[in-house]
Amino acid sequence: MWVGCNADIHEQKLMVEELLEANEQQALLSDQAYEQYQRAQQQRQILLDLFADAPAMISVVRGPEHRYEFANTRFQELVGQQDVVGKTVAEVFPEIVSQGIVAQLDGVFRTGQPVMGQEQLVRLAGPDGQLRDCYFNFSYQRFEEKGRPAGITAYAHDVTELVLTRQALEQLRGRATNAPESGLAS
Amino acid sequence: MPLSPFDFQQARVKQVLFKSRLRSVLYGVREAEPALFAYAENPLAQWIQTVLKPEFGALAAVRELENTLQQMLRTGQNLATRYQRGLIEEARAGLDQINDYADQIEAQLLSLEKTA
Repeated sequence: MWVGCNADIHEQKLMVEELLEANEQQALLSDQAYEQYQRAQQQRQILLDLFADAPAMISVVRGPEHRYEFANTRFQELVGQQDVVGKTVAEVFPEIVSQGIVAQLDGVFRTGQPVMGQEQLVRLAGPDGQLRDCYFNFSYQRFEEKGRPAGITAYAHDVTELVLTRQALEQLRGRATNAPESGLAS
Repeated sequence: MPLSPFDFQQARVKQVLFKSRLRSVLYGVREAEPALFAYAENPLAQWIQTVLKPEFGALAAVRELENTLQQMLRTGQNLATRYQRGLIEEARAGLDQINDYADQIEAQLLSLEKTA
């Protein structure tokens, strides 16, 4: 009887000891995980700060419906400072759906094949609703999470002024070439 | 940076750790070191100081949480003293009070988590 009781106490003590050891380990693990989490958060913040003021339009859309998760300062300028986070590309730019841009995003999301474009014409609606020609150098790239397609990162430069200036120059050159050589014929 | 569920999970782990350490004292697994009951050295108190206060410093709920934790530490010290005096069963029965404080802390953490 006494022996049994003693064994019970010993067992109880052992259980408390094991429980303590498990909790100490869990606390240690939890501290390590937290440290990693904080480091990841800090790194994420550094990248976000870098992207936020980068001299290009950077945005991240998530899911097959291409819902904005991040848009940097340059991008916000393009959309008249409206808050795009949470909205889909089609909601922010209804005018581009018929121009094949959303289909392009669908393709990138589906296949994982990045798309790069040079001086792609996009007709964007201005604040007055009028469509204006804009040209972009851009790249769309799919990102994955846990091995599954998660969204698309988009990087774009507005090269409208460059393209319009070049077009104007070409027109001028064309006119100069076609013009009769003044005065020499007479 | 706003607090996440992960931050509050940290607090819960720290609070369970205190109960486990106290239990180990009352079952003779560990010596009762003064640091176990010192507020400044308590992991949950340190979490309140370094994680919670920078976000919620001015809230009355933070002071309430600190009070509950201080009461739990005092009660824990009292139980350890009883154990050292040989009042073993009485000291172990007192763990119920510690559980009550732990429940209060859990409720206070939950309510703070909702405001986060």
